[in-house]
Amino acid sequence: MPARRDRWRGLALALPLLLLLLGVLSLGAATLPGRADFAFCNQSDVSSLDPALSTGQSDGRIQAALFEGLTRPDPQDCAPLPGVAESWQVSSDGLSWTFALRSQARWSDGTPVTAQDFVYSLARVLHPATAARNASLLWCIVGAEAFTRSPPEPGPDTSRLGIVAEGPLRLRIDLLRPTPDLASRLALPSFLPVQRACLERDGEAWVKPGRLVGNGPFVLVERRLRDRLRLQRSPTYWGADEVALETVDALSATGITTQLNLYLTGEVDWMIKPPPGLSRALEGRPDLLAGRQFGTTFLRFNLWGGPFDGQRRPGPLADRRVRAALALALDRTSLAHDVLRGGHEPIDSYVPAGLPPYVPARLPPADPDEARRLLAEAGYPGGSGLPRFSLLAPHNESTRDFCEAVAAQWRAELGVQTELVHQVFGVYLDSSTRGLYDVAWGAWIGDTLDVTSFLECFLSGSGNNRTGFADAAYDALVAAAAEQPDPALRADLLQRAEQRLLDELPIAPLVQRVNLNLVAPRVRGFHDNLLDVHPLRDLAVVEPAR
Amino acid sequence: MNLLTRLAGRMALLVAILLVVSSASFLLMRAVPGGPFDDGRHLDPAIRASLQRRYGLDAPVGEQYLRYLSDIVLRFDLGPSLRLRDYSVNEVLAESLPVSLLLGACALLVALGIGLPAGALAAARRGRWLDTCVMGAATLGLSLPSFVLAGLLVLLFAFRWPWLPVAGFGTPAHLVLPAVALGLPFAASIARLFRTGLLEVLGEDWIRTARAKGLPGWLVIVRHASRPALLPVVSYLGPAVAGILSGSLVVEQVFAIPGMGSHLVDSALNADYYLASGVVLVYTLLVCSGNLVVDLTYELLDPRLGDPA
Repeated sequence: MPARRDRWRGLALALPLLLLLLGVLSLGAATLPGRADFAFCNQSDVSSLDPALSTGQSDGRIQAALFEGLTRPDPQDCAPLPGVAESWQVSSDGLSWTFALRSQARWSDGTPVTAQDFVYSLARVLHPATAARNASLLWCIVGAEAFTRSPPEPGPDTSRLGIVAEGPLRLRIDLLRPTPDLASRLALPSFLPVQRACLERDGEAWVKPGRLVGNGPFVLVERRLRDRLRLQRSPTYWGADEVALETVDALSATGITTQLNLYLTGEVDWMIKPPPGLSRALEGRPDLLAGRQFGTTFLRFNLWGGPFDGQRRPGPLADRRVRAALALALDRTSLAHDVLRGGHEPIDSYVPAGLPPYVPARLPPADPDEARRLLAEAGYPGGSGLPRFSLLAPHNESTRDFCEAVAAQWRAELGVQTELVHQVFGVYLDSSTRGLYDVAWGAWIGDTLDVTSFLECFLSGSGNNRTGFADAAYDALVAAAAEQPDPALRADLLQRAEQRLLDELPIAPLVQRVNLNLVAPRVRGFHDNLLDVHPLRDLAVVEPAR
Repeated sequence: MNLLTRLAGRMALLVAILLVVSSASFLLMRAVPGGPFDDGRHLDPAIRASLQRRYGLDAPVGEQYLRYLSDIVLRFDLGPSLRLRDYSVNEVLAESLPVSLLLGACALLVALGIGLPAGALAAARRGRWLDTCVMGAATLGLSLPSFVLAGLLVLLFAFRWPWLPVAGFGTPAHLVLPAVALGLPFAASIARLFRTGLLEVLGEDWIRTARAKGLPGWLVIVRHASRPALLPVVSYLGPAVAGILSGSLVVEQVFAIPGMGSHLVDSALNADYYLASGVVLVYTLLVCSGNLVVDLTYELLDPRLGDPA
């Protein structure tokens, strides 16, 4: 029956085409109405909308739009501004903080935000079952560390935590040691409040659009993985009058070229970190904002001469003179200006400057003659006898160029031979944590504008140390500073600790990190700052999008 | 009956392939140093232990693997995503698979829609300048990888002449450039294959008969020559579907299309174990079933193969 067979064949062909047509047409129907007032590339998908699970800036930008903490960062200088807390007071010993909450603060379902909400949320962040990675930033609170470390079942006792609701609008936090930057820490995305009723009603699904209840300047309208998040101004936010943007799109595009294309065609108004390779082409553009970041790029030296397995192997890098020679041989200015470019500046301290009353300690300027002398004194004149060592770095374009330049300078100035090892970021972390390197590229960016967040990395037991550096004098200075309530005396102790670090040189600081942002001229309220934090709450646009 | 037996055999093979692929991806992911919770900052061991407990990563790898397999088989649950923590792998796939399929289908349509007419045109004008032009363009198309083509298309149709959106997803217009970038290299292959197939058939006696009846040249090609000449094209569609799927990794990235491709790359780089394994499983399933469909189509087109009744 050929006719019947033909009909079947026709159907077999037509059906997929029909489905395809329906698919394409459904695109039009599912589309969000137009472009948002303000759109930006958020670099990747948000890993979670739950503030407690915040892991990076991409998460934080959105969490800070949906929720508001006791404090919030000033868009100009990151200093803590009143958020849900209208004001706060610190006891004279610096150990007790009392926050007065504003009565107009509301959740997006209209219910008031109370001190009890913060007791619940902060205890939740600290709870072992939440497994919040930033929980340790609040271990300055009485009982907090034991709380997080207790077994998750049956769960620790909240009443032993130093977080107390003294009334519906009054919250007290008791500390183990003075923590001058507590108000800044509480503005971090991890410590934004969540609504207990919402979490208990919807369980794991509480973060879905339509269910999420927040207290921030925006509410969540739609979330499409790998595409965008749509936010809308919240009518219940206490400061809704101060929020200029009606709708915001956060695009998930990850490709750097794609992001740049979206910016150049006006599809987005803000692109974060344009590609370093392009900074030459972009230099001089009025919409490229470059500024200093509260972060340092440095080199780690492996003081153990091998894996951190409890057994030190005396190698050349265990000799302070060799490390000093390697540090002094590098022309930091050239590394910053000629290799990294894009507004990078050399740094001669580990802690970036700009945080009075703290004055960073200083590493002497590059001095190849002195470097050669030190190397010869250590028994390796002209680099002879020095084994070829590895220079480990995560695999990307800018660290590759950077490490090649470092290796070239060492070869030229000292006759030192290196082998460059580039690894995928996760593998690089693993290698540097386990001591499977000789010299490794490293970087640190502060969570808040506080010197201790830098110096704590190199305490003997710190998991961020990764050099094998263990110095009792250094540890004692940092510990003494932590107990010191007087800001000037504290700064002095910290500076002595940093000087100790720069004398011993487990690391060689090289370059201060930079913020690079492409911001459309129609955007207002965008300020470059050390933490590269730009709350959506405070942005505005002056003319309609292209 | 014959067809059904072979179908059952292919299904059994598919299950075996899926098992091997899932084991390999699961175990290989674990063998890479660095884990899903590493981000450059030291994580306190207590917090890390809580995270691992929460995601069942504290058990021995063998036990984890058995649990993973049984969850898939019994509940069709591919596990949680370790980096997209508000989503399960099933949810990620439910959002991204239709997008990838849509893009792939459009690309296939572009490949066939451009490839077949171009091949027919070249065959009909064999040896003339049009043939040379079409085959020259096809060679160029074959040698240009999708990502170069994508950049070129963006440069021309989003910047030079701003007719189409540069990236993103949401309207049919957003699909044009990605589908062309993805489909064009395959159109080139199809044009060459179809031309060769047609030239072979056009020499046959029954074609001469058709011409002798007085049928115009294009009708001879469309009605008589095309069906047997399509066979090599159809058998090429299997690899083409696989190629389009793997090519979409790059194209989805370039055009910010929310499909599965970017999830595959990112989950592998970020040690998102369950998501990576899940995406690999779905890709395997797609490629295998694509090949199966092609084989079935083959039988429909050529009555000499398959069921004699």
